[in-house]
Amino acid sequence: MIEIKNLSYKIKKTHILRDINLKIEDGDFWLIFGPNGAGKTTLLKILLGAITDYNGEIIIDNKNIKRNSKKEIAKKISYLPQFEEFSLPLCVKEILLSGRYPYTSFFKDYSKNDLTIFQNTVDQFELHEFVNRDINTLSGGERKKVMLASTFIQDVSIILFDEPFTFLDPEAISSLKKILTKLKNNGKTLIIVSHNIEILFPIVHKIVALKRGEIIYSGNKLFDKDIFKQTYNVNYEQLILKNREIIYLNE
Amino acid sequence: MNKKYVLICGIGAIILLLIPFVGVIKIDFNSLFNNKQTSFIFWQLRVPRTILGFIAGSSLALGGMIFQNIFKNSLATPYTLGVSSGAALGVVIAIKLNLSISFLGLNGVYIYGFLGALIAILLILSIAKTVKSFSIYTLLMSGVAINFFFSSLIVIIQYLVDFTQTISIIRWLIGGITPVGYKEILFLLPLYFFFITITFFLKNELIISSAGDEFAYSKGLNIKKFRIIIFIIISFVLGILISFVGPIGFIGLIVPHISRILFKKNFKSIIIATIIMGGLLLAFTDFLARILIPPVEIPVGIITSLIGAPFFIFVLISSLKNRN
Repeated sequence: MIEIKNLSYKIKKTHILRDINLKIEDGDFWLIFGPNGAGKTTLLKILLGAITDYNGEIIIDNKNIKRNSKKEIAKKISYLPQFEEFSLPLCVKEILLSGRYPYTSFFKDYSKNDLTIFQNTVDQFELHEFVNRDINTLSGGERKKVMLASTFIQDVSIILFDEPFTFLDPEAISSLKKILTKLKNNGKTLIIVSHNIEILFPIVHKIVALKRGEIIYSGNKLFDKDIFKQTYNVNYEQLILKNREIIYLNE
Repeated sequence: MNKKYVLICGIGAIILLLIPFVGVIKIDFNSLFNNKQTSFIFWQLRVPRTILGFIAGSSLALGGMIFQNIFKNSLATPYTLGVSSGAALGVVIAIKLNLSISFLGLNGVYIYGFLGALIAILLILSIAKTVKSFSIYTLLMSGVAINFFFSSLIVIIQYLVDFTQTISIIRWLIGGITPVGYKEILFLLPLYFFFITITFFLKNELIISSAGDEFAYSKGLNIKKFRIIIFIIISFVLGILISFVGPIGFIGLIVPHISRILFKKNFKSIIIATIIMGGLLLAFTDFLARILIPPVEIPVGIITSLIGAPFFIFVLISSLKNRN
């Protein structure tokens, strides 16, 4: 369970997040949405432990994450960034194996067990043809698949997604949606930041509407017109129409 | 065993074995042990020089590779980030002020090289801390600024010192490998093995850091802490090394780049290739520096840049072509 208590975060004097309180139960599937600059990505980064100079408390499984080492956090939480940027050549196998990094001790290489888990995941995700390739030569959808597989290897219970549908073609979107549903059925806690509410509404449990660093609504009322009006200043139908345009433009 | 490995190691071994035989004074195999003069030139000058070239080249290349990984940018090397010019400034100040402590029978100027490199890195880190951003952009830009600043300080010092000191400073700044005997090598060897060992131990961390900060956190690597550890190791190893051979620039940029192109599939092979090819490249360019315009010796830094820059452009173009 994740408990976020009175979380605020400032850069200089600007509030990025203000007084966030949220309780995320195990196996919940949350969608966080809101206009750009609402603080969605920052919230994910704080949960991940990448930002530490915030006010308030983040408690995961009854333990404050500030008292956990980064490796301990990584045994529970994994994060899929919006863009996977690899400016240097990097082999898919090495990216996948790094999912076992939280389980290694200082100065020790991956164990036989780590390699077995790696091999099983490669089989499960059918990644054989990619394993020895440079990640930069893969398509957007293939990269997402590799990154997802690496969180499987990491064996975490909580997965954070930042805009997972951007730059994906319709086929990749539907296959990602299937994987998300599968993860949900396996009891993983999923937190997704996305504008693509029309894709996610059929499968999420709860939503958080975020605007200018504050929570406008959090809970399980999915199709409330006022919430959209308040967060995006447009109604639900207009928002979906806009998203379609964006997907169309990406094609 | 990979074919590419065998090829690189084979060519490398042949080059390394032949280098000491060629020069202004030609040495044949028989005179190695019979002739006093030639055997001195061979064993006391050319062999240690080749070894020093190899050690220096592979350390510079390895340092470049590590910086490229932690900054996720193939332009980020100790040279481009101002670490080399920090070391250079330290050494130049030491020459100017005659600050030579003798340590283990060697001129202690390398301590100032290490301190200079460390100061350069601390400056970069404190700039990054004040703007609360450890992004690649911040670090590279502050590195470039520090590079310019230190370079101008070095020029000012050159005006302040007398003529003979200026020549020795310029000569050293361009980079040159001029050992006499094995003292330097015995001193640098433990440092060299420490550097290689620690690189292999930190292999997984280096892989993870090259995939970005968020990726690193999500895999449980505290990237900020890791960068600081790397900074200290690099300024220690390269600061000392640079005070012996000068800030030789292109090795750290080209060699890792070529290694990555040759050994895409495995980071461990990239490390090994970087070590071997970096050593070979500097030993060989130093050999060219020795024989191109006999009896004059061209500073090796000029040769590495002359060969390095066009070759780097060539590699860059061909890799970009492949990507498209």
